[in-house]
Amino acid sequence: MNVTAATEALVQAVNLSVSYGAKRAVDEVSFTIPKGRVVGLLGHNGAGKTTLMKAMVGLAKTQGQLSVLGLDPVRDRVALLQSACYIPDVAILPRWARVGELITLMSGLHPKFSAERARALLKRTSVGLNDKVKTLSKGMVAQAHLALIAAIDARLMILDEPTLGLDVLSRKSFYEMLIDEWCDGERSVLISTHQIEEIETLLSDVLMLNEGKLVLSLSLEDMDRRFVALSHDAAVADQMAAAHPLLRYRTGPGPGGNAAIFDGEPPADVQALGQRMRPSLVDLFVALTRKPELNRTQF
Amino acid sequence: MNLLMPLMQREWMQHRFGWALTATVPLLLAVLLLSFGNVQVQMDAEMGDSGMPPVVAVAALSVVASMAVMLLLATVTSLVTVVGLARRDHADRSVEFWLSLPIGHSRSLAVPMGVHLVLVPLLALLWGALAGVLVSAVLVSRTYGFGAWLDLPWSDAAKLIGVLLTRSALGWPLALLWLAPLILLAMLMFAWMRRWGLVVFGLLLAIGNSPLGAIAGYHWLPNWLSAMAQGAAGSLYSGGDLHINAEGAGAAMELAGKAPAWLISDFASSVAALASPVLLGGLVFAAACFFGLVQWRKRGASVAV
Amino acid sequence: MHTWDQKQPIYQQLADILLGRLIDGDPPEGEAMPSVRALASRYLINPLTVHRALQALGDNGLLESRRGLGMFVTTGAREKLRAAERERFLKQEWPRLQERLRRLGIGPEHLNWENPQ
Repeated sequence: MNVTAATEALVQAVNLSVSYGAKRAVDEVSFTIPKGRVVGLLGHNGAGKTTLMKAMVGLAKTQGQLSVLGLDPVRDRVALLQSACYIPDVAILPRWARVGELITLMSGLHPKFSAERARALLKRTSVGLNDKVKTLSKGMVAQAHLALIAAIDARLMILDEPTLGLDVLSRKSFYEMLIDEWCDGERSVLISTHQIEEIETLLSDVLMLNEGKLVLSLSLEDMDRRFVALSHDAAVADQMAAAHPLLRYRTGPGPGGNAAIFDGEPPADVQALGQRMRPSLVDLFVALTRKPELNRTQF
Repeated sequence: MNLLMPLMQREWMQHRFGWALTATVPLLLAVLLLSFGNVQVQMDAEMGDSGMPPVVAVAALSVVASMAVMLLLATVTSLVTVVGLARRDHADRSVEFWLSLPIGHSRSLAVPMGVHLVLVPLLALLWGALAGVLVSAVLVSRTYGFGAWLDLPWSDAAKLIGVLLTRSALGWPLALLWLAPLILLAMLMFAWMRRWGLVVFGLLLAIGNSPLGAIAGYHWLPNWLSAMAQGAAGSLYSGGDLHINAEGAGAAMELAGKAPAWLISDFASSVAALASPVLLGGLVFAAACFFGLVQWRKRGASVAV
Repeated sequence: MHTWDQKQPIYQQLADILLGRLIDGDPPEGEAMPSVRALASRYLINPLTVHRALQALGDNGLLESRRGLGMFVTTGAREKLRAAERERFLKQEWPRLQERLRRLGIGPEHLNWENPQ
């Protein structure tokens, strides 16, 4: 990513590691999150995304340096949580409470929470103020939780799979809210998700974790410049392979149904064999994390 | 930002239904049983000896019994809640929600403890007194007629009840200080091992009380436990005697007159009794357990619970 | 949600969409473009990408940035675009279409020049 002055970056990690006993969940990770970005944190299950997010809100012991909003997350956890908001999971609202009661409690417990805003956001969902959380479906709990969090005037949002369990319309509504309310150039959002294709256009930067290690950390703009995707016919497949792409795959039947992704510009003769394409984030994710299962149709 | 009120408000929102049930159901039962059941008020010689007319004795008994019952119910339910406090929101995973809010770990533990261990029992005492007055109306009316109930020396009674409530309100926190090491150890064991933690807690107490638990012939645990029990009981009532010379109706007035002075001297004795190595050592131990709970909450937060 | 193809960078695709709307006179010349946030919200794209798209249109002289007010459609932009599109049609698409019409035996007398309903 672009190197920004340390004072401007909202999050800065240098050789950050988080271990559970002998296992290293996050392994020597270094990155910066400047302000005004929407950063996607991608990785397979168990890659370390949740652990990294927990470390950023002071819920995990770390080695190395980590500074969030200029604070040490473990030592200054309470001060940090006043300016950052965190959704660890969307299905964790207290089941005994009514939604209106949660709004009242959060008004008292969070200095930057706006009850009015929460009520306004809740109106856009199918959840009522008097509804008890335990009577709500998982999707409705998620909507309520997001409405509560969105009412916090935070500089940094850390969201661990916030759209899990939501239907398409609710997801769309969430993305709209994300853009309308949070993308003001000053706040940043760190969002982890499995729906990479859906969220690709919303991201400005990406952090890719594979088994605890950071395999990619750059802006999508730089990604477009650095990686080259070529679609080609089956006939030239061998020549493509000889140029050592990151990944080769099929995009469909018939001519031009093969594709290859290169890190950097492949030689001109190889480029001539195929047609230049946009390197999609999903393909790059597969290429860099080498797992066959993914959220993309393949022929 | 002052988090005390919202945190207390949380306890109210979460438990108000249970509290309402505990407060009203026994009262309703008592009123129904006493109104329609076969209750006979027996006057034994002892009550007559205390110098109070039987009517007054019955009314006094109702109030005191009612206060005691409400206090007992409140204490039991509160202890159950408090011992399980560290793991309270783990079942529905809402602990992660609370951990995502800017609330310190110690506050998250201390405020509910204060509400359930101090506030709730004291309010239960107050409610018990009021309920007791109602029960006494039913009981006295049934045996002696409603007029007799109205004729009771209510101004003196109010003073006495007031003194009783004040003495309890002052003494209760002191009693808690004596029992703090036991309560906090139980909380910590439950946090570490859930229900097995309480089993271990029980076992530790049992072993400590048996001949095995003696160190160099000194049975430290039974001695400490009895000192704690005495201290706790003494916080509520230091054994100050109230001598009444008058008999009959005058007895009530004399009691009411002497009560405030008794309150002060009795409470002073309880406070003086705090200067004990068992109490101070117990408080240090309790503080260590609390520290342990805070650490557990900090670490437990990072591992999948 | 709008589906974006694999061929071009997203900002380029958005620029093409906006270009198409400009040709239709939406927004008209001299008027302001919708704000970055409005466009981002409409198409569910990161505002930074929207910014790049608008920059690209600006680099082509179709939009100009007015201090504090946003991006405005330059005068003559529409005509410029239409002229460019006309040129492209006449040079590339028309010959192909002409060939096809000839093969099918369709002459001017068969074609309906009225505006489509």
